[in-house]
Amino acid sequence: MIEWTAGFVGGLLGSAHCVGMCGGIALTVGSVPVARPSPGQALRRQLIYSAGRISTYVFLGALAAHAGVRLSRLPEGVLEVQRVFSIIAGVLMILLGISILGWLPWRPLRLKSCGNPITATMSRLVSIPGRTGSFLAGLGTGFLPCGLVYAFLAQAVAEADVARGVALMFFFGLGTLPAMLVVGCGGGWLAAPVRAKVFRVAAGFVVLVGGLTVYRGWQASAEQPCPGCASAPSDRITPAGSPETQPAT
Amino acid sequence: MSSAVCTYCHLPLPHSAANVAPEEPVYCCFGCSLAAGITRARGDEGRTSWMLVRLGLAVFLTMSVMVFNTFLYGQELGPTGSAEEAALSATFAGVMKYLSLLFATPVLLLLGGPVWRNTRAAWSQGRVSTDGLILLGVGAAFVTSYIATLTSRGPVYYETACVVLVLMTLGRYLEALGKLRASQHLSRWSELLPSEAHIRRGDDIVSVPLRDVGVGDRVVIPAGQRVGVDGVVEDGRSHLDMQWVRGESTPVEVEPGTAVPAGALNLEGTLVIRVTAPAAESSLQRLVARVEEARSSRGHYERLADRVMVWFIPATALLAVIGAVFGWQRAGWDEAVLTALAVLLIACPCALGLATPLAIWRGLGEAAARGIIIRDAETLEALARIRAVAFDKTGTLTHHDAAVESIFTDDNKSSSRRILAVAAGLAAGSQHHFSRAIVAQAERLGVAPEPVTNIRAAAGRGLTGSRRHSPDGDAAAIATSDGRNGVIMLGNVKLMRENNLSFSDRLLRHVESAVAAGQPLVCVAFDGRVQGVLTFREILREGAAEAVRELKRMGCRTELLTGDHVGRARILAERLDINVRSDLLPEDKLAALRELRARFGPVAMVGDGLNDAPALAAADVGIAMGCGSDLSRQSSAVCLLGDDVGQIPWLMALARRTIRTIRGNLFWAFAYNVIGIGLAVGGRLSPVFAAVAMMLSSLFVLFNSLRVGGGRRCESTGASRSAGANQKSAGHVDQRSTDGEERWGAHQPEKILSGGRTMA
Repeated sequence: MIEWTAGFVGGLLGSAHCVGMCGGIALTVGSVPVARPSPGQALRRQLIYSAGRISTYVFLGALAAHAGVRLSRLPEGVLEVQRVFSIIAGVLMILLGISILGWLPWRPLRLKSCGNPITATMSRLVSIPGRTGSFLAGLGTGFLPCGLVYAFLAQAVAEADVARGVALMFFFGLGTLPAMLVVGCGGGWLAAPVRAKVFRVAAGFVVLVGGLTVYRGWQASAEQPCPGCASAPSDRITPAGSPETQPAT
Repeated sequence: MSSAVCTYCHLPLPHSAANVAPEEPVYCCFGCSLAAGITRARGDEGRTSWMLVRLGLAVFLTMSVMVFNTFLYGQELGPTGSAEEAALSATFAGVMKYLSLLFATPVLLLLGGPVWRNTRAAWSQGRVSTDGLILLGVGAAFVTSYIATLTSRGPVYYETACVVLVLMTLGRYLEALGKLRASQHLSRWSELLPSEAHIRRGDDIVSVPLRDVGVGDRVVIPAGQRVGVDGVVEDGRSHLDMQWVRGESTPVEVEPGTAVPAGALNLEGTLVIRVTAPAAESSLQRLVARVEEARSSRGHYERLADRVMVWFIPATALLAVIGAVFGWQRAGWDEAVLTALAVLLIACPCALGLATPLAIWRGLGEAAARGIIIRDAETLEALARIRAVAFDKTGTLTHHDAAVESIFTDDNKSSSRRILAVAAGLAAGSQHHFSRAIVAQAERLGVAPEPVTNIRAAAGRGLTGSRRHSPDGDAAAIATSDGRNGVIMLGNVKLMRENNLSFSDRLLRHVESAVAAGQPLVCVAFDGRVQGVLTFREILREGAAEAVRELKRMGCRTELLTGDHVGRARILAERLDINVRSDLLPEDKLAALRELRARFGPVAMVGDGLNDAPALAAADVGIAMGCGSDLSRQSSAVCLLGDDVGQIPWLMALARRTIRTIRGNLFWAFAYNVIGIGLAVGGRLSPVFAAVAMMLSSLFVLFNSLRVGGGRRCESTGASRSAGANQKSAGHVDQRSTDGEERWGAHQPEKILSGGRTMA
């Protein structure tokens, strides 16, 4: 349950970031077949689009968790998967948060231009009318480079269990749903100054979540000084995520 | 068009595929038919991007199968608990396998279908496609997995089969996109032309499709539009950007009477042009045809790749069988299928097949975009080997036109202005380059030509005429000053001697020193004696010195081969800092080329293609300049549409870069295949990784080849411009010496007489 909450809350808070990256595509998806779709139509399209997106997250989560399983099977002491990847995930979240806050001189994990083949193929996908088009566009969007997704994928590696990794990414995807739906359907959902404030608060929380993830990753190994005893990997990861969700919820 | 080209990427078809009915879309490879399926459907409501939907759905299904498989692996790797748990996990594994079957089968149908159709088409043309072999392997993996699922025994390979199919299809799609990019310069040319033309009919202007424009039609070209057909300006003035068609970097001024080629961009005012050739036969179309012809040629490296390819597919099939036998011995039927599939994937010669043509096509296209038309792939390869560059002089390093350097007068009786006025009057109707130089000089100095009638050419010697006795005041004044019959002559010393016209000692001295220095001269006579002597000098092309310097820096020997007098040649040698061989007859030039080849290696000859055709043909690579006006006349291996000699070092660098890229590509493709096949036959490479490696290998070759075009822009041209500017600032010096000699613009700007030729 814990990773579900962690993923959901992370997605929810981080989606301020999603709006910037993927909001544009969501808007296009909503407006392609008919110039002014009815609210119901728009919502349906957005849901299908997000279903595609979440499918990709789940797929990536399964791969990451599978990699985690493999890594945790390495001979003892080679790599403390849970610890290392929790810390990586946390650091990524912190970087992302302070990047959204504008405190970094550079912008990490952000692609300025997606390169021609990607954008060209994406625009083709978006232009396909009907549900399949929306779904495939969502599927493609899920692969776009995104710091937040990478942070949670690192966390999925740390889970070192396919079911847990899949669940984490599924709930992460669900968490990103509200913001994407609002943007995709309505566009201007908040006045610019309010939006900026919301973004900043959300970014602050992302930093907080990241900090706690790092702390938990650190704790995981501190509490269990034998990282090679990997018979029950889930035991060690259980504490991660639970308290940091508290301030957010 | 001489050869069949792929409907999608516009690149030449493999020979065996060329015999297809016209008007049918033909594709050079599976990737192109796939990419065409994806792009063609845009805007076509009925079958909107069905191919893209197929690919997208296949990707989704494959992703799902991979997720199921991660669960399966997790089960296999996971801790084994009680017997109850083990039973539960076996059930779970069974469910996952059936789910995989359910999701994987559509992938085989979605992506296997097009591959199968393509394989069958290739087979009917007598070709075995590697894609077909891979499909065979994938099919075998599916059959194995179906049996394993239904009998609940043994592992399943749905994931492998799906990933291989998806990656192969994606790889082919990306290859096709890369090929399209390699040929984009040409398609850009054709696409740039407007699809219809505005024709003036009486007072109306009607729009007709470009192909319906006929010779003699009057086409209106508004500012900002490209000229779609060859024609002559009838009305309007403007500047045209001809970079694409003539390789001219600066806009060209046009006025009524100027010929304009298809593809030129009208920058300012509205022009009305009278069409001189139908759209399908415009100079641009001829250009496109010529480059397409070049692309269908096969160079040394491509023939090498072809030779290898002939053996590759049978050898690959054999290796796959060997691998399968080893695999079968090692771990049974499953392993045999996987090993064979991995061998087929890794040995897929796509990288090898792309290695050479992509780089060559890119190189040819890049050169064409700068107005350099290379005859074939072999020429590009030969250019990279060139170690010595020989230049013809006139029209190559110097302009065809000359410039008046000095005017010597006989004492102070006639001012140099008057000499020029008389000479210009006589020369006005002549196209001889000395005549043009005289008229241009008179124009520049604001000297009005004296009216002359009865002009006759004295073959090979000059012009004669007589003063017009008109009511015009100036002419009358001159006429009264001599009171004789008014015969005037402009020509060489021979003409003067034949007419018993005497030289003063002063003029004779000037004539002798000019002859000794090899300087061309013309005498002006009236009133029964020679009154003045004009000497000429050549105008260096902009950037000539820089081009020579750059070629030397690149390690090329540079030589100027000229039939000129040694003295005259020496002046040029100093100005250009180039080795000169003078007093050469045409056959001497051939001997000189032979000697250069013996001493330094392969030789390129640069000329204007008019009077040096034998030398251009005798060199390893003949480079003709200024063929933009009539490309079809040229048979040289390389044709520069423009006159910019600064392009030559750039071209050599491009050729060298292209060949380097080809070698790198071939090395990579061979090394990758040898190592990969070794691993795969030994059963050390999973088909999934082999598919990834195959795609990466093709992408590497693709990007490497597309990089060929990314060279620096022609720096020497830029340098020549600034050098030209410096010369200008030093020019326009009127030096009048005390003894009555008047030297006009001894350092005049190079361009003053260039007139319409340089179009600057």
